[in-house]
Amino acid sequence: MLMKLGWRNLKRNFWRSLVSVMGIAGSVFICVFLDNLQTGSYRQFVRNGVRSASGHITLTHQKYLTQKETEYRIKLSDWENRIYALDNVERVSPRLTIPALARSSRNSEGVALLGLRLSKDIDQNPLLKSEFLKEGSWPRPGKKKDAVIGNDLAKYLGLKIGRKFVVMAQGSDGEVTSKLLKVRGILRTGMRLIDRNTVITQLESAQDLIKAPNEVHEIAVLLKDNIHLSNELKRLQDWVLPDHESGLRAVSWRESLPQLVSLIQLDRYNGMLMATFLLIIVGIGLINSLVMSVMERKREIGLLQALGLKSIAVQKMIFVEGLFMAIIGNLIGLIFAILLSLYTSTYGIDFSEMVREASVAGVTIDTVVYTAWNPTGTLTICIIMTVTTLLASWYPARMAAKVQPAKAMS
Amino acid sequence: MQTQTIVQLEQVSRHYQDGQSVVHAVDCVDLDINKAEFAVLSGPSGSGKTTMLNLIGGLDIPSMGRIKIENQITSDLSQNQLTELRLQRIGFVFQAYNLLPVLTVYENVQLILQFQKVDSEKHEELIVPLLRDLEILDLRDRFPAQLSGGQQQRVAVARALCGKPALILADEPTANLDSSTSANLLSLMRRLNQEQDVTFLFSSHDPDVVDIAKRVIHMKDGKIHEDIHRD
Repeated sequence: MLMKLGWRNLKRNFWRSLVSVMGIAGSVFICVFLDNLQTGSYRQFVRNGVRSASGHITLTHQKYLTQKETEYRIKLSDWENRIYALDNVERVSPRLTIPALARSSRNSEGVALLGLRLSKDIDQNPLLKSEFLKEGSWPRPGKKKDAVIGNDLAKYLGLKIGRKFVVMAQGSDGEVTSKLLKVRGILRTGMRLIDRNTVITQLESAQDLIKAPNEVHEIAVLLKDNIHLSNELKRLQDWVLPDHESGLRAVSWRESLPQLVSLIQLDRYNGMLMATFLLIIVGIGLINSLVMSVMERKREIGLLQALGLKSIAVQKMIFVEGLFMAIIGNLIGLIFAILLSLYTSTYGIDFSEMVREASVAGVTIDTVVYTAWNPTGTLTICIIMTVTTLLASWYPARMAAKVQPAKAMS
Repeated sequence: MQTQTIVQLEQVSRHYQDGQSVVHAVDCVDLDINKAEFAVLSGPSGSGKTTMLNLIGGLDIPSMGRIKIENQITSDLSQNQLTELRLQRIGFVFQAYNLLPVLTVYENVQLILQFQKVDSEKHEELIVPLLRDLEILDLRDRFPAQLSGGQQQRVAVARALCGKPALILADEPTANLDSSTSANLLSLMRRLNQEQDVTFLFSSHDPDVVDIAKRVIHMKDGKIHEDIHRD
């Protein structure tokens, strides 16, 4: 009977109930959709991060994780072959990142020289998409002078395809070394750091520059799927155990991309803060709606108590009204959030007009973001919204329970 | 046969503070109501009739004195125990009908059975004869707003009777009814009183109610001015 009374009381003041329900539905919709958008964008960040930088697992020198100094290198040895022998490995990318000075006849500029296994990275690494190659072509295998430079750097140094320039760096022996490179291609990524301060060569060319054959800073291991991460990480950690003294470590992308992890956490907290404000606003609206409802029905509540309804049951009746609003609001909000999320998970949302810098925390970002469903997040939002609604019902319920029957009916 | 006292008031007073002055709504009243009585509290407006009914029904607490309902002292009971006492032993009929607008006739009556936690399978067999008796069975699925005043008051009587109370308190039950509807309702209540031994205590200044009552308790200024038993 309390359920029936609760339900019919909601229907009785249809518009007020509708406004309250829409408040809940709107909040659920916003929270769930934004959560799905965040989840989708984080997945894209992580995917780009692991593909362009660390891989799911990185083999690196322990000190290189915190101090990106050239001297913290590891021996490449036969790691590539051993890692490729694992079941779930998609790609192994050894790389060197050398701080260097690029000089032309016109200018000089500090750059990061990336030595990559280009034959495997092109079109797999988000930095090396063919669509970014504005002019020329990628460095050829075995051609140690071939280099690709950023568009802004090319302009600054006054370089064109086929022109030569010099890069200078500190060699493994501590002496300054230099190498003549030839512009083979020019990149335009939209990322200032890449376009202005990056030179990309074959791995062997970078090794030659610092006189460190067969040495790299990182071996990025890209897995076929993130779900294999913990297993493969454990296996690699066991493998590198004998080399611990030399500083070799196997770490997950969470350790090798701490800025990205922090950024995601920060963004999550921002989202949670916004959701909290939204919940407070909805809660206040609900309290207002239910208090009005109780005030209008004081006589009826007094009557129910006179007829024998205990005060705890009166409170339950108000809670039931709140619960109905929560259930309906959650359902409506969920339906719309899921429908929009389904659409945007296929077609994405294009932020290219709004986003100028296509990188964040050193990771390439896609300007078209695809939502991804986060069932845990959705469930949490629905539970929190229901609890908020019940909490918001508490004061009106207490108010109703305190109604004096004789006074209310006089 | 020994008469059983249902209601007993001993030196009961109810005072209200109204600004600087104190209103003696009920003032040192002693009263016994026996089982199967058909009594009316009469008197002018402000004489304390409604306050008396509220006190007897446990809707209000006396400032002084004590009230016994079937030997239970109401002032010794907690709010929940008082509510339980009202639910199990007292039926109310109010001047303004006081039906719940969101429930149908049947559901308004059923409410009491649900509060009493009577097995839902028995509801139909308890409610239908009652509605038939009160000639409102064909209105069972209507909402209060679809009924006349007389019909609504019959529903209120059905609701009051449904829980099989020992005592029915009716506050000005005919005040909003025309004379013919009022006469019908009164004769119906009288019949229930005679056939089912239900105790009725009215408050009213309607001469028709006073005429039909077997006992007239006349109140004035919060005191019992006259107590007439008619055989």
